[in-house]
Amino acid sequence: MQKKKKHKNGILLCCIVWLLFISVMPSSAAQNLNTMKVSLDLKEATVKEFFDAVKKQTNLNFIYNSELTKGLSRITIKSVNQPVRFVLDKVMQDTDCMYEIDGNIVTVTYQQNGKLRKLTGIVLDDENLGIPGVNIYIKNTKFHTITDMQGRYSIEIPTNECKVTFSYIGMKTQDILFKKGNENIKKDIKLVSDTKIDEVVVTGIVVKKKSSFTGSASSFSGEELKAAGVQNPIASLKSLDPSFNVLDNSAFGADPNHLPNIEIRGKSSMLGIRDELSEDPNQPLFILDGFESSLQAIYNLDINRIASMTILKDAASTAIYGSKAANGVVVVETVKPKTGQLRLSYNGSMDISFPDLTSYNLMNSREKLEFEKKFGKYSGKNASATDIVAWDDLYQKHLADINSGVDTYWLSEPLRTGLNHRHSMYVDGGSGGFMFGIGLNYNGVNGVMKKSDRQVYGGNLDLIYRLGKLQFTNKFTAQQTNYNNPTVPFSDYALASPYYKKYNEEGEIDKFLADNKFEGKIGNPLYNDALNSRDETNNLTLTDYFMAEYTPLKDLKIRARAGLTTSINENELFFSPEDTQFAEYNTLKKGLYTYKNVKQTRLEGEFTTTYATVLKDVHRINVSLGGNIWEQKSVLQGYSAQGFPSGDFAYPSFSNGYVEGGHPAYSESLSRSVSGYLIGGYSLKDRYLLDASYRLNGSSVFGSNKKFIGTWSVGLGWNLHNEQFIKNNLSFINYFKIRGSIGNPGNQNFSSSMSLTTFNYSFASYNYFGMGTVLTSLGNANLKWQTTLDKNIGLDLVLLDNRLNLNLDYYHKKTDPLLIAIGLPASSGVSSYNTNLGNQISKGFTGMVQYYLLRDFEKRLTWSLRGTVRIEKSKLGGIGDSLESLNDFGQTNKSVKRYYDGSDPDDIWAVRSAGIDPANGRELFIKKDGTYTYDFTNEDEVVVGNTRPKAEGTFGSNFSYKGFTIAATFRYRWGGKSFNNAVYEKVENISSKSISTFNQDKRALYERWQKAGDVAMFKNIIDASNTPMSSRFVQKENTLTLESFSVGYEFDPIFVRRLGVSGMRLNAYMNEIFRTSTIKQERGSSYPHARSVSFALSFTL
Amino acid sequence: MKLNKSIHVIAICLVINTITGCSEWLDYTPKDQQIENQQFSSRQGFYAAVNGVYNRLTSTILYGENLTYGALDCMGKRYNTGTDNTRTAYLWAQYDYTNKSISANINYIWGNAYATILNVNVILKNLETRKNILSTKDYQVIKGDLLSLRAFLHLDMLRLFGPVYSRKADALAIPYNDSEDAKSYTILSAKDIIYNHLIPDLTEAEKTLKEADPVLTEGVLSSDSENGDNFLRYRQLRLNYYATVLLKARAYLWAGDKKNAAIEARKITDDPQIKSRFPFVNPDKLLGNTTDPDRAFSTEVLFGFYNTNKSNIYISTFDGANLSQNSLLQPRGNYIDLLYSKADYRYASLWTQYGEFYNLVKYKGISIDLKKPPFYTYLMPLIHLSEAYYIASEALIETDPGAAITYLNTILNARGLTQIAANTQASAVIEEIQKEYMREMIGEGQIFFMMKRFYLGMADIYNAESTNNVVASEARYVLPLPESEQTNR
Repeated sequence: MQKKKKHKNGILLCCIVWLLFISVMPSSAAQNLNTMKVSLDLKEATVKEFFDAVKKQTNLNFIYNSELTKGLSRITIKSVNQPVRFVLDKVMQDTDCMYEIDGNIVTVTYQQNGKLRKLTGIVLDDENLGIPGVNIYIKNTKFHTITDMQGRYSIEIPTNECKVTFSYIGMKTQDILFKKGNENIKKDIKLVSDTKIDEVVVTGIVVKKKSSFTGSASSFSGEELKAAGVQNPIASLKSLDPSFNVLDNSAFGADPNHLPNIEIRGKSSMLGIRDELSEDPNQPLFILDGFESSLQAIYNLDINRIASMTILKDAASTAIYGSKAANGVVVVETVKPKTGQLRLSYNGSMDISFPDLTSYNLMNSREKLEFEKKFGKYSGKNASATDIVAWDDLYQKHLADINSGVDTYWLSEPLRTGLNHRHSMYVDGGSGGFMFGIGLNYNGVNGVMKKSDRQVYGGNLDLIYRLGKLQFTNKFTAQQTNYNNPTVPFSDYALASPYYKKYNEEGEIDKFLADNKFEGKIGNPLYNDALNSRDETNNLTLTDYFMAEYTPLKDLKIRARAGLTTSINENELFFSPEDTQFAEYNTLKKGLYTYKNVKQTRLEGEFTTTYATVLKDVHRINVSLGGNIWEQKSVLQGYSAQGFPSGDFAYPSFSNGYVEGGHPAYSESLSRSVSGYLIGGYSLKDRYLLDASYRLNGSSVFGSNKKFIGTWSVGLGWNLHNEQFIKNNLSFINYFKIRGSIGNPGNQNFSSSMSLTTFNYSFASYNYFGMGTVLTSLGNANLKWQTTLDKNIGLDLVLLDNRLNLNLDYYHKKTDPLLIAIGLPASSGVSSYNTNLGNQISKGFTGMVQYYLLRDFEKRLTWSLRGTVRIEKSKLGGIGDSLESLNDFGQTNKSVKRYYDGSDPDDIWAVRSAGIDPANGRELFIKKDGTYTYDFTNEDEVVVGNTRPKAEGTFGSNFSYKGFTIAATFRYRWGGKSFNNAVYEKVENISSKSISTFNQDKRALYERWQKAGDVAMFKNIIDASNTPMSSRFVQKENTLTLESFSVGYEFDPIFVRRLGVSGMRLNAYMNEIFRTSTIKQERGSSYPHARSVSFALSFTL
Repeated sequence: MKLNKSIHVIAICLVINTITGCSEWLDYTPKDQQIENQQFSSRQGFYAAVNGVYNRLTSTILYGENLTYGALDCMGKRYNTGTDNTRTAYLWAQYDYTNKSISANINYIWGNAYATILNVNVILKNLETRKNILSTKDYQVIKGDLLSLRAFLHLDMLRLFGPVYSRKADALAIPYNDSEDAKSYTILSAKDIIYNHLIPDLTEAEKTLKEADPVLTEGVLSSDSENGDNFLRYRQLRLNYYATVLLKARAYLWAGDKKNAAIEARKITDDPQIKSRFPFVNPDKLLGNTTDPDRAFSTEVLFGFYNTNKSNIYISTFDGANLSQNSLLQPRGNYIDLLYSKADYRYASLWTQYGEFYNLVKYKGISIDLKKPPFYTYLMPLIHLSEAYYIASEALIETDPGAAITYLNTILNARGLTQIAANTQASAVIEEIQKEYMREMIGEGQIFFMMKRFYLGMADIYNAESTNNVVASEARYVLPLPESEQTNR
């Protein structure tokens, strides 16, 4: 039964895909031009008879000069239910008449001798560059052409008076009236941008006018992105749009090789379901030039290559990505070569970044020793007499060292000032039907930690070839990324005690900071760092995107695309045998080499037919029918070897063998999907808007019984500014749109293997019967797609002569059921099982406001203020006790995350604390019933806060005068809480063992309880016992950061032209330069945060 | 026209291709693992899966240690486990189930047993959905072997975690996992488990095996076939027909159902062919043989498992000459002299004297020709023929004492012992049977279950750990269900 259904879906989908390929004939679409149809059978009729017959069937009124039409020949026509235009064209084509339809009035004019004249010229944009593909036509006639690649056009028009329309998406449509005349005309046309704000929405498949779009999306041009910073496009986007959330990573700070975690409008998935080769299930989908891409590719993308970035947030805007769109979509378009003579543009930038250690609050050597003494390290409980003496000797030794001036600031040891530079060059040009662009770019980043760098070399070749109504585009990109990570984490330095010396008396670095009976062996991070250990990664990515477009009619576009991306990622990790971690190892096992190779291939093909037209000037219709086919395959291979001789023998051939019990690793994952979609948009008089879509998706990721799913979306909008009552009465409103959408996008960032039951050979158990196979995973063949019911309501408002812009959006996303790994009683035979269960609701509000205090185009003076805000909440439901094992895990593994119905997954769960009892220095806990106790139990856990801020956003200001610009963006986070791990680990929870080994937070010395009566935040200084997680460590986290500050100057064009340059610009940026927070917490435990200053130069020859 | 037609034909072909291809194209088969479809696409695949399941028993978490000579025998007070309270064996012997290490072990045992059961269920499901791949004989043998294994594992979990049956037959015990679905199974009472699940599974197994098991026609077949296809040989390594019947007797006896236990046990003891199929051990070959003695009494083993690690068990656990007190397991001094008479074949073949102490040599390695080691080299017994006689004797002692004593004497006789008198009192017979379990099944975990069944206190002859008296208590005999079972319900 199930199987049958599966096939039915398959057949339906395939039919849609097939329809696209076989049914797209120009004529079939052209018939939609007019809905009015007529059936005629006239023989030798007069013109009047003909018009009357048509009028009868269509209610069209004909206005014509009866004198002139008298001379026309008799009409013989037979038509069965044909569009009225078709019939009119047929009748008129042999006459000297032409007609125009406006509403239900047809005006018939007579032209002398049916003569034509030639109209030629070029259509230019604001920058005086030719615009290819501009539609040029006379309304409701057969006269139509489009501009070539240089923007040139040539069209024959009637000799009598006629109105020619020039239209191009994103530009204001122009109607130009040509008076009666016989001469050929040469006329250059300049089109201007449509509206002031984000005129178009690039969905990756269609480019839509923003004013007729009901979805929630925001677009940013390459220039806008660069104005926010040049380091990478992700960082810039974060400053520009409040819904684009780059999660704060307190561990990896400014590590250039650590990709950020990104969310658009919160999470749609539960944690946990992620394997080595799959992506973060909450990560948005990235589309690069129309093709699915990866976070890594966007992160590495040279910001100068970006023409625009669009964030699609709600169901209506992400509709075409259907089953992959639940987390939102980021669409990136790269620059296209422009026509004209050869141009060369160069962009270069240089950053200086320096580590930000202000969040660290570590003891100096004297404080550390004093703390140790108070803690009781040297008093040796139950120690023998000789030991007591030895302990004291150790204390005296440390004290003597400190008195001689030893106070090592280990934190600064692995750090440096990072110097980074980027260069990118683009040469483009072309003529006739051919255009090309060649780009080269380099990005060299030296992280603020030594041995941490990232180098990206890229090249790209863009070709466009145009042949009549056909256009071919090919974009090829090659990119090599090499990076190194430090082998000694920053935390090792943060842990080293300051009374140890960096160098011994001979000026050498000791292998161990301490090597004695009491303190044990403490490895010296500097020693390990000086070894030939390494962590290197090389990645080569090749991408080729090909696109063919055919425009048989001005309203119809047929497009086929194919993309191929292949990447090879190789990682080598080597730990020298000298490394202190191997101190206790057998000589034959010292040293470790690990090799990992991941190959990934992604193939994508798509076919779309788009038809867009305006009927009778009031009905704007567009319809896209398309299909997509996609495959991604990843293969991981690797091995580890151990046992290396000391010295420069860092390659696997020097090893003693595989790691004991280890074997070569191999795993692969393959995802495939097919889809067919139909998207339609309709607007009435540019006032009432409707978008709707349906997409049928098939994917290999989900259960063999649930491979197909349909996703849909509906959007409604109302352009109030086009209503008369606003136009007439409220003229301060320039733009006012209310829109809403609903849909059910899905998420398929999951591993294919979840739906499969798999077996593996167990080699250890060979017997008379041969080998045996055992179950490795129990798949769920009924695993359903995870879809999210996504509702959005928003408004866009522009007021006061375009001075005030406001965008507000409210969204409500319900993912039901979730795809989660639930715990089961062990008697089920599995400990966890992937299934569809429970739901998660994320709702929130985003707002953007911009106000121009000054705006004088004449003087080239603008000054604006802007602000953004995001408010978000999530809630889990319907999971019951199925995640109890996860909660138990959290309790035993020191996590404050719990999963219960009705709770927010970002909640912090802990037992409430009443603080430290001044009488005895012990912590008092508050039980669930409100009574106090010294006895901790997890039973008393309650929600004590939420890590997600109540509000987060940015505010800032831009000022520009003549060529000079200055901009600042601040980020604020308000109302969130955080479990302060630094305090938990470095102020309390200091065990007798770790006291010697690790440096601690100053507060351990100054703010812990010492004697009866002390009112202290932290427990008894000599208490080495384990402190449970309580609300005492949960603190408010309100922060304010100066995210970016930039100053720029655009040189006077007249001045630079003398230098032979057509434009030149200089910018300086500062990122993360200032930060203040209510929580004092170490940030960047594995890699410190950094502040940076950049300088950028760009010019065009 | 002609061209047009052929274009149409091509187009139609393409459409049909795409339609059928679409769905298949989305079926993903990973190459780094074997998926269900591939696994059960051949007879070899089925048998490899069956072998895999039986091999899981070999794990030290299950019968490779814990459920034989390890945890169970420690709980059955078979060894002096010393006083070191960090030693797992000691903790088992103290029944300290709340101890972290013990509760972790309990969790592993439970989890592994049920994971093995899930393996069984997945094969059983495929057995039904892909019947056509196998011959009727293969189908029946696999089905019988697996149903029986499922019951075997459940019975042991019931005996470990369930109540003392004679006291609380209706108390909640364990769940019975009988499908390949990942779901939460209800915890059932001991009675429910036995009568509504275990016995039906075993009856079904018995029925199918009776029709197909080669052991009934060709015997145990404990040697390689000439063509290398051993799937239907080595029947002692599978829960064959006889093992299944005895298992049923074991289950009835656990439920105190003596009438049915006797019926099942007598199907074996009274089988005319049993003596030839499973002959008693030959003392001439066993005693005095120091090179390759059959210490497993392999000819009498109805079911056992293949463990290449067997000789290491002796080296790491029982070798008194080379092991420190902390790793050694041995009974208290003189205990063996108390339990065995010197004439007992088992005394001479299973134990070596070491001062007042005795080392268990049951699992000691033997000198063998590595190219062709005898079948018993790697065999660890789990079900003995003798148990059929013990069960028959115990079950009949009230109703037919004459027959009961005859059954017991058959075994005593086969072990070189003097028979007990025909007029021996029932209680003395029972005591002798209990002693027989202790003599016969050392290192196999059954002794703890026997003691739990009788709700015995452990003192004197029943305690090889010390001379202390350990009173019977449910807290000792009933293991708590692990945390992993109780959460997520």
